Amino acid sequence: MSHPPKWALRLLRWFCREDYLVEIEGDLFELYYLRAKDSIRSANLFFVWNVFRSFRPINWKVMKAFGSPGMFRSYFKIGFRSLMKDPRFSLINLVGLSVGLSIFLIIALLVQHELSFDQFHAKGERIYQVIQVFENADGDDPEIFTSLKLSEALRLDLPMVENAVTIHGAASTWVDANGRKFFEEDGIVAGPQFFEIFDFELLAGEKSQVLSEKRSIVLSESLAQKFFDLEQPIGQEIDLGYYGRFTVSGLMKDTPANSYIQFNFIITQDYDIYFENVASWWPAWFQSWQGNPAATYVLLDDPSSKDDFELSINNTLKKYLGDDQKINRHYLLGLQDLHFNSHGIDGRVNEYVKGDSRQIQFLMGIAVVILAMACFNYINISTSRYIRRTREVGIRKAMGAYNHQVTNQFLVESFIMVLASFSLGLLLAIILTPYFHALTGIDLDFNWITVLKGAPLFIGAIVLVTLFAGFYPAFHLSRFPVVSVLKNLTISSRGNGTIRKVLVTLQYVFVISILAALIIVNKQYSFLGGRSLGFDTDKLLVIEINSGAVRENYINLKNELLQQADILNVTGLTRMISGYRSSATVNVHAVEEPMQNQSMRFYGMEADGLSTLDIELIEGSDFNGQTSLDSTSLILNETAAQQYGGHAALGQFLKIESATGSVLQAKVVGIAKDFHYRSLHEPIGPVVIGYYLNPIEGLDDIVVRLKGAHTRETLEIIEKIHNKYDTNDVMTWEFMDDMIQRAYEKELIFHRIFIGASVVSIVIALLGVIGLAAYFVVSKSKEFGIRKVLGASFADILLLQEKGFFMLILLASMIAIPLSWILADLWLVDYAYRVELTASPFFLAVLSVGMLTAFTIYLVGYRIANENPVNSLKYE
Amino acid sequence: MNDQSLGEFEELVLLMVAALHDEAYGVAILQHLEEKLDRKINISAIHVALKRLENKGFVHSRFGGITKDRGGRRKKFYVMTAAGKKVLDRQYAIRTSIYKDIPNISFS
Repeated sequence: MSHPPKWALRLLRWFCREDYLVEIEGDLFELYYLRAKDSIRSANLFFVWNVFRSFRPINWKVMKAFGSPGMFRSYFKIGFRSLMKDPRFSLINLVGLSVGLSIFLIIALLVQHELSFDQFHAKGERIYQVIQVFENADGDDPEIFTSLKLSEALRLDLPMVENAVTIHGAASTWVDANGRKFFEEDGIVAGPQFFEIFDFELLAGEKSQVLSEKRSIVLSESLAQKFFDLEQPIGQEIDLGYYGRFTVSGLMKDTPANSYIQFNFIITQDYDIYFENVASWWPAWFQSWQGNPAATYVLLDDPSSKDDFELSINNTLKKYLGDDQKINRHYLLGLQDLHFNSHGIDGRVNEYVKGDSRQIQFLMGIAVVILAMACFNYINISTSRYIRRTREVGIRKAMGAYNHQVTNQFLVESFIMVLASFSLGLLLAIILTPYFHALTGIDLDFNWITVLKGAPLFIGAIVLVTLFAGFYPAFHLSRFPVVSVLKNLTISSRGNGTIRKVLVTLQYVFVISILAALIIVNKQYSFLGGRSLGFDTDKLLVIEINSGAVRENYINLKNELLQQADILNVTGLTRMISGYRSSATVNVHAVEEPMQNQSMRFYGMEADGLSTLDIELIEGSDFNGQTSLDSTSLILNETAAQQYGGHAALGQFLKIESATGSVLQAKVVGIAKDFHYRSLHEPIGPVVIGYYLNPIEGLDDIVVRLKGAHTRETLEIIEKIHNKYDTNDVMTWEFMDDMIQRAYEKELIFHRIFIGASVVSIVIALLGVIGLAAYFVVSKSKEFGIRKVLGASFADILLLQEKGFFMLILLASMIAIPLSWILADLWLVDYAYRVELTASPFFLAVLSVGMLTAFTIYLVGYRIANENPVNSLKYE
Repeated sequence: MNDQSLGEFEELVLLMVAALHDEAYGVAILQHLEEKLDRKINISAIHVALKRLENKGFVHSRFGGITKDRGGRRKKFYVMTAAGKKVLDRQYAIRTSIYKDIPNISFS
């Protein structure tokens, strides 16, 4: 015998209430068999049709729970009335929940934005960046830089490589377009395969064509508009300064904010004119197998062939580099891993800030805590309000209400509030997004698509909070036996008292731990932010030396610069401290003890180096300015000096060996205060400072300390003087302040978000405390009245109330303090420089919560206690 | 809506329940109504009407025995209640009384 479609039957059983099911199913089956005698196909169709037609509200499962529509309406009507009866508490509930939710939404969007990096490439899971590992004395140094020739070789030689492309950032350049001049910094140079591998959306031009012609340029939408306004950009010629002339071959959408590769124009690889203009000494190295100027991306046939690739790449490299050349280890890093997991890998294609997965986790934690707290507040306040409605339940049941009808009443009430707060929260989040952008510079993608995507979560949260908030009254109160509820009209039955105390205590545990945690985190951040790098970064211009000519004529260049009125001082270093590029690591040992090798960082400085940078000398003497003496003098930082007995280090002879085998033997003349030569997060290691003319490392950076705020003129003068000595290169410079700000930008943004979130969560938490405290005082009006009638003074009554609360606060602190202490300690573990955990944040948290409670009780209690006791006693 | 009111389709279903006395269940009502009215009706419309009639107290229902032609599911039989009969009588009385008031003139 044939059977109707199973899925339709399942659908019917899913939505249809059980007590109707036998009848409906039976009738549908009977009709089905009648039809099936003629044609099974049409019977099937007819069955499905009938199932759909049976999808009527009257048959729905949910309708059974609500009973008749009249009852349904009544739930809402009574629900609204009871919410309006206590508008103040309803408002606290509404504000707390909606603000908490909106903050949660914004942070969730931010997290989603961070997690969505490079997810928009259709082949994203098969795209990898080739990482080359350079081996140094102190370990491996992975970099994104590879040879320009690598991508082509990989494409030809390795079967698992479907496609490969070479990319590198274009130098900042003047652009002459449409008769106007622009300065552009964010271009990249790429092979013709670029658009076939990456899915950056082209608005005009074919993916495989736009970069295939030499001297082609693809512009981003906004750049095209800037250059040509409304004119058609395709086919126009643009002059790119050093790079020569290019023809616009394509137009693309601006790179999404969640892309690792950021650029606003892209040109084909064609270096002839560039080398002619800029670096004539360069091309041989640049275009050889030995040079490593560019990033290489490969598209594999399958993610599983990654290991295979890493094994076979060595043979390919050997083939081209020859057997006598050292082959560096290469490995692959997935494109979608670059945002979070490329820390420690040097180089980037263009300006871009890497993500920090720990911060993201932390933010998610905050968001969840805020939402949880808002919900908890809400549940707490609602529950304590519902406790007072036992009599209503009794009367309802005496009138013949079923348990489930009472349950429904409370659930509907809870639902009204939750729905209203969630809608308001959503609206608030939409309104707040632009402010968030202003605060952090992060553009959140808040539109209807994201809202729709989050809808299931949203609805789930609504249901969950509704159930939790309505849980106690809906499932507990409704089960009370009628008589005992009606007989015992007071709310102070023992069971309720305990629940109340548990709720208040939990609330306090929450508030105190969060408050303490926030104080500690903020302390840590201001500690980091306020921590000096150990040298003065103000008005410090760092110029990178790109040519031998500058190195040779450095003293002349310096003297010429010093003649400028705006320049305070000029000094030369082998590497700028705390810069992008790290300095050499050297092996150091005392001459008498050749076996006691210490690994240290080496910096070479001019005699006026320490004074220009404002690094404090704590013992001994500085370089004295005589080359013969200084070149055999060393200055240690405190950490290094400790290795040689602190003060006793002075006068010792040290032997310094570089990775390449160069040796410097010199005497320690001074000890400098520790300064941060790397990120603030990393501990300061031992540093040895030698003279800038040394066998270890050559002069590479010039540091200029300006007198006043820098002006365009000053910069132009410096550039002019620089260009006299270096006729080939563009001057590469950056202000130290900018460099540092860039390095800590994400941290700053994170800190701002954190402060914002803290304020909100504190407000929500306190709102909960106020609401709860106020509510219990109000519910004690009758007790106040009786006490007053019997002769108690205002102070007596108030003290009694406060005493009860303080016991709870005390109990809560005993739980909250160890809890938050452990959490804070866990968080601080990762910081090399951290604040010490002291009792004060916890004390402060407890104190402020206690004071706020006392104040609330006083305010509310004052009003009630001063009322005529008749008012509170005559009814209820 | 007055709970004692009766929609047109509900009235037809109620009439059929009464006519089929003790043999009235979904499919039977459907088939007989389709035959009498000479139009297609969906079974779910019958179900809705029966539920409403039952909520208003015009019909009673009981389950029959297991039958093979329903895949082992029991039939739900409906019988008219006294209230149902009363409302039908009233409906009928109202209609006939108005009908009688039609003046005896030709409508052709």
